[in-house]
Order: sequence, then structure tokens, then C-alpha cells
Amino acid sequence: MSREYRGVWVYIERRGGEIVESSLEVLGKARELSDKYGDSVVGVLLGSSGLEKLAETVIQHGADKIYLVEDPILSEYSTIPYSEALARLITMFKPNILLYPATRNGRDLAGRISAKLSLGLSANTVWLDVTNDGILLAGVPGFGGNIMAVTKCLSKPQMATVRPGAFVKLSPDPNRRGSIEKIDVGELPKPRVNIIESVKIEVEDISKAEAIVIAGMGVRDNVELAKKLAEKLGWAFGATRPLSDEGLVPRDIFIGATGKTVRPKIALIVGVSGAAHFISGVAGAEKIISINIDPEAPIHTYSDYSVVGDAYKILPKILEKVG
Amino acid sequence: MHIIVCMKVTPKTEQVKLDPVTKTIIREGVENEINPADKNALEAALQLKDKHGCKVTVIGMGPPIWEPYMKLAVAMGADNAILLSDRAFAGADTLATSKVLATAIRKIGDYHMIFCGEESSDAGTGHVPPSIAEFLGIPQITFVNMVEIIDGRVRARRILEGGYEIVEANPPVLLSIEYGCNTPRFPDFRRKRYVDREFKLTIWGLKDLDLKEEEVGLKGSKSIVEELREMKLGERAREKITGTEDEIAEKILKLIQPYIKK
Repeated sequence: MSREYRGVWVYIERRGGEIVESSLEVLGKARELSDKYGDSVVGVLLGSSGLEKLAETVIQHGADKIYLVEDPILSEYSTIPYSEALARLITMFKPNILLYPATRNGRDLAGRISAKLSLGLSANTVWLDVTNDGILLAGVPGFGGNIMAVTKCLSKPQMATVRPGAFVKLSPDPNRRGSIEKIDVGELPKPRVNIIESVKIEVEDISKAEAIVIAGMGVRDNVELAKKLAEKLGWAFGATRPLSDEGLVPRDIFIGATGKTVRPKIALIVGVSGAAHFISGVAGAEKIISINIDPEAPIHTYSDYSVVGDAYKILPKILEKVG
Repeated sequence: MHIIVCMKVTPKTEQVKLDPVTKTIIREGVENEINPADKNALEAALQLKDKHGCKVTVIGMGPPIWEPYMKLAVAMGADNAILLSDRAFAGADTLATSKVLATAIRKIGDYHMIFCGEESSDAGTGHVPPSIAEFLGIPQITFVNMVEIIDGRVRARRILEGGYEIVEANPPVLLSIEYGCNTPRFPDFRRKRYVDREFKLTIWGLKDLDLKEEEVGLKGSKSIVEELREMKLGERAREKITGTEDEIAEKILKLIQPYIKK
């Protein structure tokens, strides 16, 4: 194995004083990959100050080492200073693998780094493996969803963005020890995009839901019914891409190969035909109950319990019984 | 202001299949369309043209069969269209694609904004917009669903997980536009007649751009598809729930009861 490039790095996304959860999911997977070929896991944290506490959290979730870059310019994410700081770290330490959560800012950054350092980048991966000599294999679902393209980078570090929800974070181990190193990367360029206003909207992240009602085109004439049931049960509400494409539900709640991945304890799926690209987004559910009027719909095959019936008639009955 | 819109033609997602031998998308027999998010990017540019009189140029890297789609963009209201087409460009990953697009944009020269769709409907990486911006050395604003020009500055609303940012930048700047953020217009009848009778699509190949063959296409790519795998989609027990609607509802209720939060 080439000793020149060492370490499985994870870009730890931070918003304010918090670590973005999907970074820790990626870290958990990085731990597994690193153990498989005998390397170490490095978390990269960028910010203005006071990152040590976050660094401890990252170590507890599986990192051996943290590189911190602190600079007032890095207080909030901005493409130009962040990409410059990360690119300099990469050039200084030559990691073998660099993973990013495929969040919006993660993708904004990774695409920039790819061009800056002329590096290959696998996008929105849901499956990762590594050979004994540290070659990263990254699975990208696509082309209808029942086929996964396994991609490989021809440059190092080998980079991939990882879809939120694709992996599970490790439980924190307060006894885990790791090193924290502050790195001076020199003067950084100023942001060239100014944030005038930053607005938080509390939307439930359905990828973390324990229980969910998922609606498809089969209930398009009364999506509210499925939504109402979700509310009454205290469950999350999700949908398929076609419903979202039609503008009947917001874009951040559609599930499948190009949308969210959910892994609830239970999913009640109504009016969904069950195309492969949808199924790949719910495959991690513990229990699936489906209702679809078409006995031939593939969704039945992927269900633990299936009903061939009219959701428009059954859902009101369930609502009534829940009381 | 001059806005360059990067456009891709994509096969309609639901019709796409992969060639198991060459590991590439089988494009034959599949209906194509302008990548939906790129159509939103074009519409966003045309709305600024309507308001401020901007000039809009569309560019795309693809085979000659893209010509009608490039022309469609002109019929919708773009002032010019350039197709970057060369056998050497084929098989490009996002890096090699971005390099060709950025080089063409540099050749065009006098631009103030570059609009891209946030991602393509086929590969869906979303990497091309930031990579183009990096190659050009200009700032980027990704995942935008609203854009305005105020006193020569670009103001945009950038959608993030759980919120949004209002940001500002001075041109030149690249924006990636969110799919579905506006309703793309239909081609204008007079523009369509102009396209059919007069408009000539500009085509640039490798020799028109200051690039080496090793920098583009498959040769210039740094990521490859190694193999295809069938995704195991976990078939389940499929215990059938039957009865009257009332009985079915009762049985489902029993199953979901332990999970009801109240």
C-alpha cells in the first residue's frame, strides 16, 4: 500500500455550535472502513474558535484524531475560505480518503475541492467499501434505483459525498481517546458571498423518524388524509418523488434514491406502487405495512404486512379508530 | 448584464437503462428533455432578461443530437446558444465536464452571472456548478430558489436543510438554481420562427477551446464506474391483511398501536 496517502478523513459539518448529525453517520462508516484496511480516522473541523468541545464529541463517535482550523473568517460556512482551508490541509497531510456528508453545504464544498485539486469525487453515495490496500469503492444508486454503480476514484485523496441517513452513527464512547491538533493553514481569503440574513425553519428531519406515514400517487386526490393520520399518530409524514414533483408535498420530504433515506421502526405506506428507486429509500425500515389498490403493485413484495385495498376508504376508518 | 446558462440534455429518468457491458447509459430509444433543473435556471435568467434587459447565452456539452434542445432554449428567449461537441468530450466525469464548460465560458468572456441547474436528473451529483466556479475563480451560490439584481449586486435566496440564507455577491458569480422554483415558459412563436429560419447554432470542439485531449472526456476524468451491482431490495414476508375495510383498519391499528405517540 502506498504510504504516501494515509488516513480516512471526514469533513465534520458544523452549524453554529453544533455538529451536523450526518457528519457523525459518515464518521461511523469511516471507522469501519479504516479498521478494515488498517488506517486511522481523522475528523476535520473548521470554525472561528472554541472547537475543542465539538472535537471531543467527534472523537467519542469514532475519530482517532481531529484537525482543527480556527480563523474568524471561518465562523460560518462560506465556500471560498472553507474550500481554501480544506484544500491546504489536504495538500499538507495527504489523506487517502476524504468523505463529506452530502448535505447542501457538503456538496457545495466537495465540488469546489474536486476542481481546486483536480480530484475525483463520487456523489451521494449510499454504500462504501474499501479494499485491503485502501482503494475506496463507492456505491451510487441510480438509473431507476435497482442498480448501483460502484465508482472508484483515480486520484488521491479518494473523495465521496455520503447521503444523509445512509449509515448509522456509532453510540458515543466517553472513554475513547484521540488527539486534537490545531493547524495553521496561513492567511485565508475572505468570503465573496455575504450572508445578509440566515433563517431557520423548524422542519422535522424525516430521515430520523421512528415512525412514518408515506403517501404516493395512489392518494394524490387526498394527500391531506394521509397527513392527518400521521399527525394523529404523532408520526412523521413522507411522500414519493412524483407527489413532490407535482407540487403536492414539499421537496424535503420525498423518499427514495434521489431524496431522503429513512430507517424508521415502522412505516405505513399508502398509495405507493413501490418502484425500485423508492424502495431503496425505505429498505432500512424495521416494519413496513402497505396499502395499495393494485394487487400487482411491487410494494406488496417489499412489505411485512400488505393490504390490497382502497386507501381512501381504509385511512378514514383508522383515523376514526385512533379517536 | 450577460448571463450564461449551462444546460444539459438528460434522458427522461423513468426510461433510463444501463448498458451492462460498457457501463454507460443507453441513450438510444430513450426520450430526452432539457434537464428539468436547467430549464428552471434558464427561466430564472429569462426573468432577469425581461426585467433588466440582460443578455442570455446558453451553453451545453454534448453530442450533435442536442441541437434541437439548444435551439429550444433560444426559442424560449435565450439570445444565443453554443454547443460544445467533440468526440474527445465523451465519457467525462463531473471534473472533466466542468473543465470544458469553464473553458468555454472563459472564451465567451464578458459574463456577469452563470446559471446552472442545481443538479441533473440522471447523475444528480450537483458537483458541476461549484467545479465550474472554482475553475473560473469566481464565487458560487448554490441551491438558489430566488434571484434578483439590486444596484448591480446579485441577491439570492439559498435553500439549506432546515432554513435558508439571503446572500449577496458582486458579479461575476455562479448560481445553481433549484429544481421547480419557477415555471419555465413555453417557446415564443416569433422566436421559434426565428430559430427555424435564421438562427445558427455555434458549435465548438476541442480545437476551439484551449484544452488538451488528456484534460477532457474519459481521459480527463478522475472517477470511473467500476462495476454495476444489483441492489438487493429486501423482499419481505408479505403477510396479507384481508377483510372488510373496517376489519382491515382494525388489524392495522393493532399493528401500529405500540408506536402511536400521544
